[in-house]
Amino acid sequence: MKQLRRSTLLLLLALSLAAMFWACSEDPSNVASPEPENDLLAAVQAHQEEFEQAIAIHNRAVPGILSTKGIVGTAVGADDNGMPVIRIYTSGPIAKGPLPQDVGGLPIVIEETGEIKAYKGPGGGGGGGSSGQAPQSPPVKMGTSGGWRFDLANGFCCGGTLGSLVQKGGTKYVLSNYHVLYADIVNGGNSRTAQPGDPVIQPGLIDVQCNANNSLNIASLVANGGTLPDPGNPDAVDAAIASVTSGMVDETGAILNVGTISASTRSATVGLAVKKMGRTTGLTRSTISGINGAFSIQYENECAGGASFVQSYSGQIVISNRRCNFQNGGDSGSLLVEDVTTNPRAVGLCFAGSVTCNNSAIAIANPIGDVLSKLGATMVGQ
Amino acid sequence: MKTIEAIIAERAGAWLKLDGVVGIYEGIAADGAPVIRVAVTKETPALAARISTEAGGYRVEVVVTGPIEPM
Repeated sequence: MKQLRRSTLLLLLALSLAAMFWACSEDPSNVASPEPENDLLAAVQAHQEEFEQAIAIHNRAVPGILSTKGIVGTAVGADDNGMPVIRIYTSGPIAKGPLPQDVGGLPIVIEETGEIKAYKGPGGGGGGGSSGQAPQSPPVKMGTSGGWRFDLANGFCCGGTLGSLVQKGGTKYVLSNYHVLYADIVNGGNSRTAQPGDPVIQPGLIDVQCNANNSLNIASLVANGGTLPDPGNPDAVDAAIASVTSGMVDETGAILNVGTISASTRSATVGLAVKKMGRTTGLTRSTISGINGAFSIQYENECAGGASFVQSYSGQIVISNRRCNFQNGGDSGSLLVEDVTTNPRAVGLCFAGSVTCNNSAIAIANPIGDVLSKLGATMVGQ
Repeated sequence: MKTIEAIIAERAGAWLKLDGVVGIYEGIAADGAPVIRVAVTKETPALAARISTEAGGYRVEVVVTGPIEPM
């Protein structure tokens, strides 16, 4: 029911936006009569399922769409037959090259709206403190935007969060998710796959207009650095490591807005206060609402790519994520830690969550014990 | 009585095969009792008919989380 309302709200917003643009036009011939609009509303209501799917696809694609220079906004809208389309708003004429042909199979409608400015409002970006999206000077702290240097395909670029540092055999590695660093497994839209030795950058492509020249190479992919797919393993984790480039990363393992963490870990319990520092929502706090979670998660085979595999998980940590205020797209790879001031212990590795941002939205984390066991690593900390 | 973890392990496979079920986990109800939560994309009569309100002696609650994806 909540999804239905959200879909309707989004639809009405889309229709309102369309109406606003018509109303703003100085050409009176563009003012639509009420009757076709009512027909359109009825047609859209008849395609509720399609709109719910479109909203989920759109939510996933928004960071990539907005990272293209000249694009100032995007929304789910409706075509003349009441079917969903992705509307992309641009500041001016834009060459077709940077734009995708479709988003997850949904047609794209380009509208030149000009620049869109806020009238007045609070500062944006995250839950406070240093931005997780900003470029850093080396040595880079964790809890920051990052990704595979070549994570650009199908007209989009992708990225996530470089969450923390781990070590094994005396070597230090950036810890993030498989789907942030290693998920490009088909030549597909960029004629390459993620390979050992490829650079990991800060910030990720999504924060540098898809231009890796504006980022720093801070680590490198390694052989067997990603833990998925892992069929049939009840202790599967969505984890990845990349070896730290000397001098480029703060090797104390300090996380932006969190500071140093403990080298030891703790298990999750329902009601435990937790926090995380991520690229999108910044430093945020919540509580663990569930444990022993079982989920099946669909993965893509490259940035904005096709379906790759479904991974089953058990023993997962569930975190309250009301209206996606705790975690949202781009926060994957964040380290979930207990909410204490000094040297918090790691609890989990954030990797998935609700794409519908309602009051019951949840975030999911792999238990950190499973992550470290799979990698044969320990946390870097005090 | 089996542990709630054991009940989840037993039932998760079957429940996750139901169209609209995206996850199962252990939580604590408002009254402090342990509950099994079934995360769904939306509430439907079909799902309501297939998901019991009790499993292995534990209460079952349906939570509309929407679809779950890598973030």
